[in-house]
Amino acid sequence: MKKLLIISFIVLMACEKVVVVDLPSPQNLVVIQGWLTDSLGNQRIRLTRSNGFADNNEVLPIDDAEVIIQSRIGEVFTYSYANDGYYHADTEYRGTPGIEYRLRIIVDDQEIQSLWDIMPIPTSVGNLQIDSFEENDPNDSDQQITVFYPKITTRDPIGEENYYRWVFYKNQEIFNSPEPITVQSDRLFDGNLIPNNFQIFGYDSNDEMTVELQTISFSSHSYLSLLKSQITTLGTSSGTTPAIVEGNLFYVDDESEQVLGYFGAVSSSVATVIVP
Amino acid sequence: MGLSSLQAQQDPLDQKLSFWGEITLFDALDSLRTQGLNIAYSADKLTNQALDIDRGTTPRKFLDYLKENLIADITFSGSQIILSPHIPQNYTVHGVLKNVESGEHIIGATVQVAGTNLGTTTNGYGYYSITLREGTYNLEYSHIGYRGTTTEISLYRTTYLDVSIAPKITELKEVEVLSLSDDVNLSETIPSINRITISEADGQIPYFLGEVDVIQNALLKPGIRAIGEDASGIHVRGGGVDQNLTLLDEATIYNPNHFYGLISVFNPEAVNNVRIMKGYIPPSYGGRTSSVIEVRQKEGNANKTSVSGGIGILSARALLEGPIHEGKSSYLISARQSLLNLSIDDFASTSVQRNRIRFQDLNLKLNFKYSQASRYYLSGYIGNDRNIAGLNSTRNWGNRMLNFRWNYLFTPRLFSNISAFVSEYNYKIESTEEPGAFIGRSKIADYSLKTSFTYVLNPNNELTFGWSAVYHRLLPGSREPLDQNASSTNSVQLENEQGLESAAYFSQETRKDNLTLNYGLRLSSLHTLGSGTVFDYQEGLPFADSTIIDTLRFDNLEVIDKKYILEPRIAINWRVNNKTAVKAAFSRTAQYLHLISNTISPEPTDIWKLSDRYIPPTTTNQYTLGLYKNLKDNTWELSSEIYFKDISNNIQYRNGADLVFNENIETELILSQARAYGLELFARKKTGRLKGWISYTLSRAESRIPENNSERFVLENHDKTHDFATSWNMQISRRWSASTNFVFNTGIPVTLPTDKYVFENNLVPHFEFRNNARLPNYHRLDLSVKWDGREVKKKGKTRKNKDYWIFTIYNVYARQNAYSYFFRESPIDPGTAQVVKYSIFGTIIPAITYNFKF
Repeated sequence: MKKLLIISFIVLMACEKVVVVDLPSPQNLVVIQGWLTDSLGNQRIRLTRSNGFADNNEVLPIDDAEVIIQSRIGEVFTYSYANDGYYHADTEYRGTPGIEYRLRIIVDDQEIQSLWDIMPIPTSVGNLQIDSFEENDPNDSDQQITVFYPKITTRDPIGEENYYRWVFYKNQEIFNSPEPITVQSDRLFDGNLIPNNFQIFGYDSNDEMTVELQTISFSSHSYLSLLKSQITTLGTSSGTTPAIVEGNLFYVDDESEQVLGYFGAVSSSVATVIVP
Repeated sequence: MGLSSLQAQQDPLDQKLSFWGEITLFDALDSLRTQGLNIAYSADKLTNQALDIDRGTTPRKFLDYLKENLIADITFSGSQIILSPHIPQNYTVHGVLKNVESGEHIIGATVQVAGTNLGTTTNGYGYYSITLREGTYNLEYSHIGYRGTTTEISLYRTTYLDVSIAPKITELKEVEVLSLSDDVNLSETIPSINRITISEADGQIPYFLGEVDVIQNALLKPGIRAIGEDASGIHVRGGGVDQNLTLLDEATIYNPNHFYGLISVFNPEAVNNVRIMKGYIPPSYGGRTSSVIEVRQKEGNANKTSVSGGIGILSARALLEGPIHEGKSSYLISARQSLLNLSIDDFASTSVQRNRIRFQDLNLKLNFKYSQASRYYLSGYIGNDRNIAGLNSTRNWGNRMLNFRWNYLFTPRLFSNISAFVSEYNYKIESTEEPGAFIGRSKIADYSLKTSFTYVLNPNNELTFGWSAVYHRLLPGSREPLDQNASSTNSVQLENEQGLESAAYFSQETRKDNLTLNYGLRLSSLHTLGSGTVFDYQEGLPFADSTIIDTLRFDNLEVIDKKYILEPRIAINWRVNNKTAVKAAFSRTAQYLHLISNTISPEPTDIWKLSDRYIPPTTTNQYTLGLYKNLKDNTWELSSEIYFKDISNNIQYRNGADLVFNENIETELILSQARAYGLELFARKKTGRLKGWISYTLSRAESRIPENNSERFVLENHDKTHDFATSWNMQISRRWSASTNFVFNTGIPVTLPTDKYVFENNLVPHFEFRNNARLPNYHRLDLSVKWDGREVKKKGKTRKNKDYWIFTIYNVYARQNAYSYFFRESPIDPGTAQVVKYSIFGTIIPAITYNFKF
């Protein structure tokens, strides 16, 4: 008992406190969030502006930009403003794996472009199963509850570099807690059957469990990995040093000016089951 | 030709003298002539002094008498006996300074010729050697932890003199503090040395959970600091954590940390003393650019077997030492074990899993005295940390070292040491979590041979020279499936690296009047050896996977690349008077090994990398100037120093650098020019009931890196403008003593965001300039009280065993010092961002430890 006390005592020493500090003045940069997928419909690009770190408002939408996506084979897809910073494709279309795409935007009479990003050949999500473990009920420590989680076995194509992003949905709602971004590279698994156990994504009975495997480019993988490190480990001793999350967007006339965010092309494969 | 070699029979030298009683020298010599001896002398060179000769003495004894009393030097040339005036000779007095109780050799003690500024310090083996003009001298032996002594010596031949002195135990018991206090801080040529001796008040400095820690102690001295509490590694005068040469009994230790850096690997029970050289690195040391941290293990008691140890909340330790051959050879074995599965919450870890950690150390030392001239030492160390993260992953890491040394005295004036050691740092991770249950390993191993020679030319000149060769073998990483059949991960093995780092050096210490000059040169080199692969990149383009144009392969032991660097070092000491000295030094140092890490403080997973075609050696030029003054018979030591450091090829990493299993790490590096400068003030009271020091550092460390399309100097993560520390120890009564320290420093730089934005529901902080603000000031007060056990039993007998308790309070007023800021979305008010201050120790931490010796 004494031993237990001391352990918990040491654990509890660390503490967190919200503080108010003087922050440098904001730069109000253009932020682009854009993914082109290989599924029909719902192609969207979001344009916002960053604001002061301490400001209360969440986003500053940009509603007066011209937005197009170009393919290397000469296609052009135009987008129009919908709401909340989102621009929707004027026609229903889908990207084609193996083709490179880029984004071009005119904001405040200045052109922003993305680098070309190749839409990868999709890897099939594979076999989605449900596994479970017992855990103490946080509301009643005498009770045990069952937590269901996705268990997916995916066959990685042999001999090529593949990069993946896993996206989880619970009852058709995006489910990104506790891990906001889940990326994977096949560097250590090339050509193997990869058995992923996503124990941290817990579902309850009767939930609809949807798992999407997005096959992404190397550049998208690098961007998402950097983004992830900057939103999860900052401030820890083992954390990375704060850095600008650099994407693949730039002003055509002045490359020294910054554009935040990323544009990438992804191909996806989805599996859905209902938790028993 | 000696006197005795003359024929004995009928030898006129063995007849009885024809004179006795009082007689002048010339009369006596004339009488010898009349006895048939062929005496030659020049009357205007010898002094015709009065002699008193015993009756019945022989001419041979008479001549010996003249020689021994320095009346005349005598030479035999055929049958002629020539008398000439005595010419004084130089002779050497040498020996070992020992602890009278344990027989252990005392390192770094001063041996001073009374009434002169001649003197020396005992070397790393307790050995000293002074060459003086013949005569009678008083030699003063002193060391801060011992009661000094004065010995009179008549030096008319080379003399071996071992001296034993007693440790100061409690000065209260002394009627009067008579002991000599050394002025080693004034007399040694080189500036900026900090010494820590755990057995004294240094061992009572209050620290976290009552632990005694040499590195934490060092952090209270000027110019030495860590980023924060939970931060591995120390920064010396603005240098990087990998730029300190950490030596345990002369063997390199690659990771001196246990438990996330809160505890160092040096078991205080087994440590004799620590010396940190930060302003000048003598030419005999190399391989790191910032400092030398030299930790020496105890030698073991050569007189009697004893056991000592201690137990606290965090760890327990024990030591056994004793003679192998009494008075000559001894052994020491010591172990330390953490007692609890400790953990510190990784608050920002998204998976709510705790890290648990255990550590242990084992130290060993044997020393054999083979003869007066020859002594062997064997030192060993094994340490391990075991960390269980969550349920599925176990990490182990640790250092191992084995060192064999041989001290040999060729002549009393030529001391040599040869050491051969193996030193290793291992890291291993086992993860049973799918996908990819695996075992990962990385390792660095050094196989080294070093020699050093010290030659005393004359009283004012000493020469040191030697060479060293270290074969480095680095296994940057391998990853294998945990279970060949079940695991989906592939085996990955990064190429091993091999390199031979060698150096040759010499230095001379020369003294003239009040000036002492220590200068020397070190020629260091690195040969990176095959087998290996080197990528060729397109010229003029940044190193990247996409700019590789060729892959070159090298065979086993083929030289891939070679580098040579000349490292001049010079230090000058101007002894203004017996209380004041001024010192200046310049040293150029080179480093061929780099710790690859892009986290704020190093992790056990970080790997070492040899310089290669694309990663040049880091070089540092350091300039130091200092003024030193001792007051009240060396009771008070004051110093002020300024330094400037210019660091070339300081390694930084690109944003978001991927350093794990990276085959061409050069694509992730940025080479920067760094500089550091500062002022250090230090005042220390060395003796008396109240002892302690005050330290203040004003400094800046920055490096020039590209940022936002331009290059500018950016503060280093560990920069602290003001750094104040003070530590005091007071003997209250016979059995009670108290210690306290207080630290205050400017907060470390922090990068504050200018903007925030949302990317897929994630609130992302955006930064403009790195390290554009600072954390709040850091301050903390610690206290400890030591209570010695009874020394006398109730019946009046002296207790054989000694023990004491130490009660410690760390962070007395529960200051919540900021360790870092982190940025998050408000849990209550989505869309709003928060700056959160994170403190590792948010409360006061009391602790108790029990220590014993018997």
